Amino acid sequence: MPEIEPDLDVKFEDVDRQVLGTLWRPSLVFWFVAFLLFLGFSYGLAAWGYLVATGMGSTGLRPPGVMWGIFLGNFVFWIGLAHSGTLISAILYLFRARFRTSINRSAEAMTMICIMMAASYPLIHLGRSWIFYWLFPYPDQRQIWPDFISPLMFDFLAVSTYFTVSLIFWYTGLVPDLAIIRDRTVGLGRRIYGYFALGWTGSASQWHHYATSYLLIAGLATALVISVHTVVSWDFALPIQPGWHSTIFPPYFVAGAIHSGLAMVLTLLVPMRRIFGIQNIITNRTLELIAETTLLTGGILGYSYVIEHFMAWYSANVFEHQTFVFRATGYYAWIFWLVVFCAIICPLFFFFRGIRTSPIWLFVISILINIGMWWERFVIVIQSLAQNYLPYQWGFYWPNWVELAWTLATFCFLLLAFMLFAKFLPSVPIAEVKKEAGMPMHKGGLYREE
Amino acid sequence: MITWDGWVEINPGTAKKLNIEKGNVIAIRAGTRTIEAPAFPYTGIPAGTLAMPIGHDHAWSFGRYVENGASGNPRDLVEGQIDKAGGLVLTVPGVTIEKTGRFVAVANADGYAYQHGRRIAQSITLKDYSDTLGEAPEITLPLPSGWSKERDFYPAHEHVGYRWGMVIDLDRCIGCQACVVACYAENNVGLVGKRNMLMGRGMSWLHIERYFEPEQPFVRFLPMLCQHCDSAPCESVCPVFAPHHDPEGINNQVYNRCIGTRDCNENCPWKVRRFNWFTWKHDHPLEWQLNPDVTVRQRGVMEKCSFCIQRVVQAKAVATSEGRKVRDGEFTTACAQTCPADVITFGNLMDPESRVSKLLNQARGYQVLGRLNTKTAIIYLKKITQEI
Amino acid sequence: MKSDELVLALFPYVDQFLSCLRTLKDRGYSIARVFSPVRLPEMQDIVTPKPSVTRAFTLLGGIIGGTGLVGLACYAHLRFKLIVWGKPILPWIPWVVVAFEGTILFASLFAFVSWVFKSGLPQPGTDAGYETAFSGSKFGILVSVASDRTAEVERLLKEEGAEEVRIGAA
Repeated sequence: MPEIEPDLDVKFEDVDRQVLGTLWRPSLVFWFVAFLLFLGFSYGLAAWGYLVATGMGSTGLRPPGVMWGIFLGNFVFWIGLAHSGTLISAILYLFRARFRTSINRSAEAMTMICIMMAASYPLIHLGRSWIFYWLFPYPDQRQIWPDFISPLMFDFLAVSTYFTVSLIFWYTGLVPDLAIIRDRTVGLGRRIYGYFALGWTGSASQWHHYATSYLLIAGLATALVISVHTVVSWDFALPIQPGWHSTIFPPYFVAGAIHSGLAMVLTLLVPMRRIFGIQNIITNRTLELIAETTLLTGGILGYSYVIEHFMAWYSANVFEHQTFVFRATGYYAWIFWLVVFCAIICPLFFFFRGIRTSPIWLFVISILINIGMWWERFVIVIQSLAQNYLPYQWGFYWPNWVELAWTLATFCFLLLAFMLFAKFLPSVPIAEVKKEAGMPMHKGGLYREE
Repeated sequence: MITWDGWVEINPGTAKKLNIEKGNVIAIRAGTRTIEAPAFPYTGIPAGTLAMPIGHDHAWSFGRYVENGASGNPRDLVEGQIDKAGGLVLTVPGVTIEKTGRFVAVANADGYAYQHGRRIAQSITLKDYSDTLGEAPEITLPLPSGWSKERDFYPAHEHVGYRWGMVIDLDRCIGCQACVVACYAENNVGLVGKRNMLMGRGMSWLHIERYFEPEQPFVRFLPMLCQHCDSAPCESVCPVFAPHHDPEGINNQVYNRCIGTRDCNENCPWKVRRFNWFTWKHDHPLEWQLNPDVTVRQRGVMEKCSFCIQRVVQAKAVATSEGRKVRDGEFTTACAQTCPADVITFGNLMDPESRVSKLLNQARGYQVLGRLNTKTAIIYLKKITQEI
Repeated sequence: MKSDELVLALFPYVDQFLSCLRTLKDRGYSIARVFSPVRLPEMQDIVTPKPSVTRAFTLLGGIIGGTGLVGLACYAHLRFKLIVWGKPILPWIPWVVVAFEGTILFASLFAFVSWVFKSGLPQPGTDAGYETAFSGSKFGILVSVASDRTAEVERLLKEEGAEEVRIGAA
């Protein structure tokens, strides 16, 4: 049985210095790239403003079938990305998987940014987005409340819960690290980091309550990893459209979410550790273990596709059967085959040791996986609607500049926010890595807890 | 259904032979006279024939709204001779066509004309019709009688006083679309303009669908509107309770509550709901045509057939003031009122003596996508076909 | 005059730190505070053997959240009693999802608030006896002892491996 050791190669005393050395004093290149990303984000914001000013008709949406376009596809994609961050932080914590230690902070940060971007999509796709607050269950003079039976309401509850819990979890993990930074800076930095460190000193009673709550929140977040994308999948599985109304959607979506999320973790971490020079903390072995997990999730995804097509044929339900035939041969057939190649076949290359231990290949294949997963959401949301029950209603939809602008903006924001996070907050959980690195003992050797 | 342009219908086989596609402007020449129109390949036309409605060429009459002057009026092909009865001679000895090389995007609202075996617009042969004359239809009525423990998870819900429904006779429908126009007029339905029609954004609450079967040479017209299902899939996916079921069975849409998630349409299997993509304009003097009993919807809200609820409410108000129930036939919806062929019958399904209850009780009755068990309130009567 | 003094010891090695803690505990000294840059289960066993009360708060939060959100949903649906999709006014199946989300949300909020406040946070400064080295790589024990016994304690701590011992007023 191969060792699942992450092979951290850093000393207990050096962790602080190495990780804190990656912070602050960003270079000119950093600011230039950040500026470009900001421009991209602003373009999307401008497009959003134009959309609200003129009406939803400024999108490329093509009724009567396709009234949900890539805004909803993006929503599912971004929520999906968020899941692997919590998987790494929470589920792997419960499993005591040690390779999680160095990556969980950046994975959680990615989660939070992805949830924020995902939350922008239900907002932008509303026809009357200025009254979005009617989704909140607040007591108003008309005594009318939102509909708690609606899958969109479940979405709203699940995503806001997920954001809150992720924020709590991420911040809880940050507190000891903020204390470390506070102790090593002076002036304004010391005050700001000190404020958010809440006066943490690392005393035993603090660690005691902290650790209990951390474990409990990890357990609660674990439940969310499975449930949030399940709830999102019910946006599609509860409606009775052909191609959507299937009980395979929850596990299929959760597997897809973790698949794309792990790929995004790889996409973000491979360059980050190169730029920061922390390959001894986020080791090749860690990245290799992530790649191996994508083999599992890609396998579940491939199985789900096969089952969906099989059940569509076996059911002899003319609508279901034809929808899946059209998926492979209809308006968007080329996208379906692209998805199969990028999301199912590409990760299979990770079976080769040479590929999964090479950072370049990890980066390339992770980007291909995410391309495949983005188009997969397109196929799921749009293809069932474009060729629906009544052939008279069929129509071909393609996104236009407004929808693509906001899509671009969300990707720009992810990179921008992640860059800012990595420069101003420790992207590696220092206290946890210290423990993982092993404390020196007087009698020699390293102390590691069992 | 083509909007905003003139057109000439041409058989698809003929079009393929002549290398003409939808939208190619062709010049039709009869003797010395020529008109032009965009071609529209249509299965309902025999090979070697062209069809064009008289009365096109709107450039001289509707100047403001003509998107392009591409379509001529076939009246302009006649020589101008007078026949013995004193009328215009309306025949010409044959026309030739050639492509002009121009292209006009024809804004037609239909997607795909074949049913792929989905049995949406159904027909029954005359022989089968005679054989099954006394039998009960295979429908699940949107009444407590339609509920069955084997099929339904939740118990039935009661209606109060009336359960409004419709019977649509596909055998009588000639596809004239007078009902569509009536619905537009009655319900302040917006006109979207050609560019939006090209993107399928027509606002027609009621539209006529046309389906062909590959072996049969005739078209099946299917008036499609909100089915006012008893367990309507559109209702519960809305997060703000904008669509809901009223105690008389109508599926209501509350315009001022709608925030425009469009999930209701995603769950509708018939895709009959319409969304206001922009705030449609009513140019002067068309705003005088608007019905004051019906609101005009803002952009961002969903709308759909409401069974002319304004007429329901008015009839009930009159009846209540006279201390009685609404009589069958006392009022009807705009579409039923206008139809020249008596296709649509509207009434109270809870009243066994009403015309709808009697009409639906024949073997020809079926529900479109009835297998989905949403218990639609629109019962269709199959088109009767016969081989001669 | 007897008054309590605080004696602070800094340890560079974790095994000595832990054995010193055990020794101090066995000899009955009053340990005011223990500092560590990482969480050590052995340290927790010695210093804080009782389970944390945040568990009870989290459970309480979960119950409040679950029942509260379902209660809100029921109240909301009973206002207008609208029928949607042919379902009864209060269908129990969607409430499963609502209860689940409410439980998770409030349990997490209560867990966070309870650990912060039970730890004595947020506090404006840091604890008495805190050294910045304790967030780096040093462990610390703060012993509260009568002022006439400080020398004895200092000797004991140095024997057990303390790198540095400081004596400060309480």
